Amino acid sequence: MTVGKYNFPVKKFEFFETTADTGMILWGGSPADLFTNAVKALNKLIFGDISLAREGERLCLPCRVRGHDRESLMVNLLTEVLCLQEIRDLEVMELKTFRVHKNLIQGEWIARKPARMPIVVVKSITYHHLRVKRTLRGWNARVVVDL
Amino acid sequence: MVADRVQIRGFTEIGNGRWFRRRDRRRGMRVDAEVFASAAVLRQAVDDGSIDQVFNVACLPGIRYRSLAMPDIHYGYGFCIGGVAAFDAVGGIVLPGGVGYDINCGVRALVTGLRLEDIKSRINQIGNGLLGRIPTGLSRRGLVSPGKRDFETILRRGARGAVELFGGREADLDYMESAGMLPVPDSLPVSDRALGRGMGQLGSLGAGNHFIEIQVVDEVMDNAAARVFGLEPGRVTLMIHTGSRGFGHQVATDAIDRFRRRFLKRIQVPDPQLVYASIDSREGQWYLSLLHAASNFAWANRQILMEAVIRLLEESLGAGRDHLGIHLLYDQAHNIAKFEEHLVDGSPARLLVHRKGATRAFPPGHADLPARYRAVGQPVLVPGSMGTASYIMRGVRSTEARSFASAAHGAGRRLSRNQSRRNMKGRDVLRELHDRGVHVFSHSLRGLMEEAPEAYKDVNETVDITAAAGLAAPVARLRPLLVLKG
Repeated sequence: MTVGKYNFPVKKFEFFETTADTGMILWGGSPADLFTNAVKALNKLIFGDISLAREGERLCLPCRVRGHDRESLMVNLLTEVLCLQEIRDLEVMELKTFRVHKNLIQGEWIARKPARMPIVVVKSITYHHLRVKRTLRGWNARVVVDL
Repeated sequence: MVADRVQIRGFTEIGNGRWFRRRDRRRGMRVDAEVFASAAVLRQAVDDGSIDQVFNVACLPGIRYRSLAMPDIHYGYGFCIGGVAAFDAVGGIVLPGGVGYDINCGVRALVTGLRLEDIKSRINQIGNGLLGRIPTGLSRRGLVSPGKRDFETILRRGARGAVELFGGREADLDYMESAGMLPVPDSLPVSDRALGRGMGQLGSLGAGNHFIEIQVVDEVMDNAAARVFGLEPGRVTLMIHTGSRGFGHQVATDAIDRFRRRFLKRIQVPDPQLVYASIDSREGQWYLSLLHAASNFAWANRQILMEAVIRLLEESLGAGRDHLGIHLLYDQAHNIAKFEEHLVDGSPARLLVHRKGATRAFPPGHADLPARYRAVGQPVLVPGSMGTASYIMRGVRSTEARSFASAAHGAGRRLSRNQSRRNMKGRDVLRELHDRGVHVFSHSLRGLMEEAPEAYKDVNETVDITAAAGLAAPVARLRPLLVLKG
């Protein structure tokens, strides 16, 4: 991650525990990085580490998500990942962003038919202690998901 | 000489299992708080932060009587699990955080005429049948695939719609809270996301702590009520625990998002998850209509699952449901807000009672109870954790004045999922439960480790406190025989 002339370690996300559920701490040099890392983190939480990507089965789908502030943008973006999983039976692997505004993300989902079963069922992306903020080191978010 | 009363975080014990704290105006509390707990449970609630959530709820405008918490209190999103709060039906507020994400998550209990020896040799056959047929957390499709029109019928007519469309008995509807259906307006403003998530999941169990369990009555504590409920030692019973699946979760997400956008800057709440709207406002009415639709989904979901389980038992045991003596004992909601009449300071009031991880427990004589239960009170179903006992309790008269006729909904989680998995590492959870006489069936070993009995509080303590505090009285203890985990 580069902010100005400084280089920082490229930690993208980490998980933390709550009594019943799980949380994600996310980092990014820009809002676009932050949202991209959020999608990656959610994918890792749901499907785990093992990559079983099968060539030729990737799908690119248009992504257009709105929110009224950055927090709701985060919830709506990650909820869209759950919807693609539950409604269209797709595993969203990545988000490529074209435009990120305060209340809009436009880009492309990179998805596939799941080659593996989810290891965790995520039911909701919550607003509980939700935080999306700019720091000296870029952007940082905290999201708790309901399992 | 009177000994000093014990105080915990400003709470004083005012009776068996009843801890009271006068409102703290500096904190913004508008009413007092009361927690039904032992000293140990109260200390845990202080440690995990759920007591602060009880205080936060006491700060909400229009709250009546007290901010309450049941004996299975633990930390939730904004509003603690086990929390109960009531607001005036006219001029009061409604808050999605006071209901929770899994709207009308609840339990349905069935009583059978079977005895343990009738099914003992067929446990594996029944368990494998359930595992093969009932869609659990990792499967994506429900037992039924309604079109848009049928799905709308479900959202409008709940369990009644499920009986009409997918089979079942109309008589069972009497044994569900609100007859398994809450009213929704003509135009139902459901989001595409909620619709999409819900349509594929009708007739599915879900994941986490959801389960189907076959049990046997281990002990009867109240013979008269047990006779009315059809319970006797050695009798086989069944419980189904699930809710409104992705539909309810999406409704809750949509509602909190809309309430935040409209109100968060205009109202003062101690936690954004407690964002609310006036019941009379457009947003309040919008949320209530969706809450009712999601509740109807959940009742229909449990109805469809119940019919599937009964069909499986009929096939496995080679007899019809009447011959097997299967009947619905009761279906109750855990996460819901409902309009009810209660006495507040001796005067009748119409209130919107929010119960999040708490059950309704109407006392004997209540007009909303089916005639069969009017003399003994509402069955109150208190499931334990996988591998431990569950209880059937009943509503008692004192609960009306103390808790808006509410009681505990289960054991309550103690360990985080990761802690539980670490705890179970190297141990064979299936074998340990099998050695206790519990046959567990699940597609997810990870899920089993997360839901191990040690991850939950002691349900016996929850039941003891519930009884001591006068919220409900124990009728029978049930021992698990077979568990299908979501």
